Amino acid sequence: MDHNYSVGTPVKVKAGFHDKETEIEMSGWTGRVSEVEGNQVLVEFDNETIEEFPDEYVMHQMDNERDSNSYWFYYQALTPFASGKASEKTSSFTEAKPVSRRKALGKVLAWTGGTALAGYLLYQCVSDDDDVTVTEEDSVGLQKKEGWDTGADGMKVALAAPMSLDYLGLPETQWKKYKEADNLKKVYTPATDNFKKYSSNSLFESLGQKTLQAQMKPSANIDTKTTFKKGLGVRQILLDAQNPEVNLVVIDLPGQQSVAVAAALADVADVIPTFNNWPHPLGEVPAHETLASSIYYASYVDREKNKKTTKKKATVLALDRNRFQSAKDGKLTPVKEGNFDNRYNVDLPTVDELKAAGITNVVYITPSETDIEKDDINEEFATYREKGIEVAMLPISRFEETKEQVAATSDPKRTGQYATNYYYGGSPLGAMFFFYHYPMYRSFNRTSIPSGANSRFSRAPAYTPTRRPTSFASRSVGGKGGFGKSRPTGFGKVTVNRSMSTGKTVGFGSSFRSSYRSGGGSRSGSFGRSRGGGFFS
Amino acid sequence: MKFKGIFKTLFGPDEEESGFVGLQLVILNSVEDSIRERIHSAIAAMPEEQTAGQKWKFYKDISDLLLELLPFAEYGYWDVVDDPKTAETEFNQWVDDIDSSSIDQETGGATEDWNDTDRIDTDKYYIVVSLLFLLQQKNSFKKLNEFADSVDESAVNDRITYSNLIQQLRQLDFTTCISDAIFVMPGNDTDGFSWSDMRTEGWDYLKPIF
Repeated sequence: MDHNYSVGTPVKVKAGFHDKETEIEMSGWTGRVSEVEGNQVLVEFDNETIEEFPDEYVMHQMDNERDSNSYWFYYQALTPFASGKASEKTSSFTEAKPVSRRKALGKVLAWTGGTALAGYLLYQCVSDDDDVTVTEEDSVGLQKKEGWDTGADGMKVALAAPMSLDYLGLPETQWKKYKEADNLKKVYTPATDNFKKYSSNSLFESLGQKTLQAQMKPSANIDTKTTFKKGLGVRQILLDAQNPEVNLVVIDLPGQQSVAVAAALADVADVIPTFNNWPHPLGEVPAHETLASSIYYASYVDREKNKKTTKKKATVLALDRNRFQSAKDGKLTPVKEGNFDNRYNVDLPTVDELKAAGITNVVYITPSETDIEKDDINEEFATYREKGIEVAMLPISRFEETKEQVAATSDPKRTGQYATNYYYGGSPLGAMFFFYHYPMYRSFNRTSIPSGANSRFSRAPAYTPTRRPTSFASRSVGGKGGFGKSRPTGFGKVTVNRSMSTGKTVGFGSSFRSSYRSGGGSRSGSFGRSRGGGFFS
Repeated sequence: MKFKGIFKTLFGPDEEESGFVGLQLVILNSVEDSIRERIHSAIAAMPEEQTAGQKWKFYKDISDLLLELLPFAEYGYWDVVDDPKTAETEFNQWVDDIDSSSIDQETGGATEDWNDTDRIDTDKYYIVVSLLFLLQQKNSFKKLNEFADSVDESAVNDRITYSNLIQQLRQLDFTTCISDAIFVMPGNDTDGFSWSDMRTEGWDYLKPIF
């Protein structure tokens, strides 16, 4: 072989070169080498060239069952295009071997099949414009294989409120142990095996990536800290309730806030995390914030969850409400241009599993009264209701602040000072209304409301989960109550552009492509059935 | 009334999997009276039997015409189906649905329910052009499918998206074409759909082109 052309090399046809059969001049046509056989190379033409093809050339190639978009050249007819400035002597070598479509494709496939992608390859093709192969892969799977920041090497995550001290005021020397994946997993591992299969430690496992671990710090912005205090209000209710164990609490707040509420409940609940993605510098879901919040509260949770108690604990599922976005019509919102698709969906326990665990109600903690259940759990919630499991919404916004003097028993150093606490309805008395609004909880301490006590709220939010069309509905593959439902096409996957020459990931895009095509499959079999009319074809 | 039907399949389906591409445009005819005649002429000039190269040239010319008329297109619909299990079904469904609305090809006469006395109004502003392709899932379909994948949901009904889609159709490799069809409705030289017609049942899938 007397040349250095290899697969992926950008090339240009030298001036004066003509197709022997049609006499069409191909000078200046550009593309990339897709195959090499001795002194001949197969060139896949680029878009610019294809758009300018003479009609005669395309028709001739097609009539001879050849692929007009590729062409076998002897190497002497070509010049490297990247260097571009190479002298373009008129080629004296005008013989070329037109390639048959069938032959060309077969060889291209053989070549792409030779790349080291077996095992996770869903589809593969050759980009026309770049020296890359394009594959579609599971996002977390890709990150585990190629690094958490795949495709964005060197970029960093931006934490909203990085802290040098964690929630308990511990310095880095004491909280840094929670940056170890195993330690953080241990802190947030549920104490019991109840609903274990719905738990995910994937987010915490990402700290096994050293470059991510180095960037992570405890983080909690004002919203997260406020939500933690509201979580303490929820905690007080669970403490006051006789029967917390019969109610499954599902926290569905933005990840970092969900962690905050879960942390506040650490001593009164068995918390099951469901964070099933990894951070990425360009992640669609800000998983790094959820992770940083987990580190911020880790020492507190570690301390509180191990306190001895005889009181029965509630079961709590912690969800990240930012795990995906969708429109009111149930269509998933596509990943923003350039973002890495680290979205995911969650599964919830089946009715049978809930009943087997003695759970008769579900309390769904949302940001506000207008935030109904996310699309991926609509089917489960609707099924719960249909099968006799009551689902009640508890907006975290109903926990409102009040100033209270700090009691000597709770913090001697601050005795007499005022602290901001959060209660259902905004006051300790108002909190008593909770047990009237949410009768699935029975109060230990109070059976009647003191005279003069008022509540800003007269009842629990009117909320009835109703089955609706979503991108997740009717996709259950496990049969029972939706467990194991499959993800919509392309969801949580990325198309990966991988350099042919280096094998490295050089870019990615969202693979999402469910029903957003024009019309979205809503034709209902009535296509074009307007009255009469002719046609012409 | 003329009918040339679906083009005969030049190359029967081989063992390759197939993919479907469908495009329908509702073009405002009142702006330029020659629009329908130009489309009809282009279609009428097509020979009954074509080589792959001739077919490519035909659709390239049609595509160029549609690109020229795109500013007058008010509604549209397009779809790309890469599931080989449903692609052929989708193609046939489109054909059947359009065909069922068209006139009797044997008699060449108007259907019984197509006369002005039945219509809400008799304006004849719109003509509907439909292009359908069932293709082997080889390079040119893959490329078109990649284009479809790249379209953001918010841009599906943008005029530029339709323009890009039609550009892609100009590059189809007809050696991989299993079946294709083109329809223009109404099929005579004088009729057309009114604004009210386009809002009757059966056209509700159409989206405004922005």
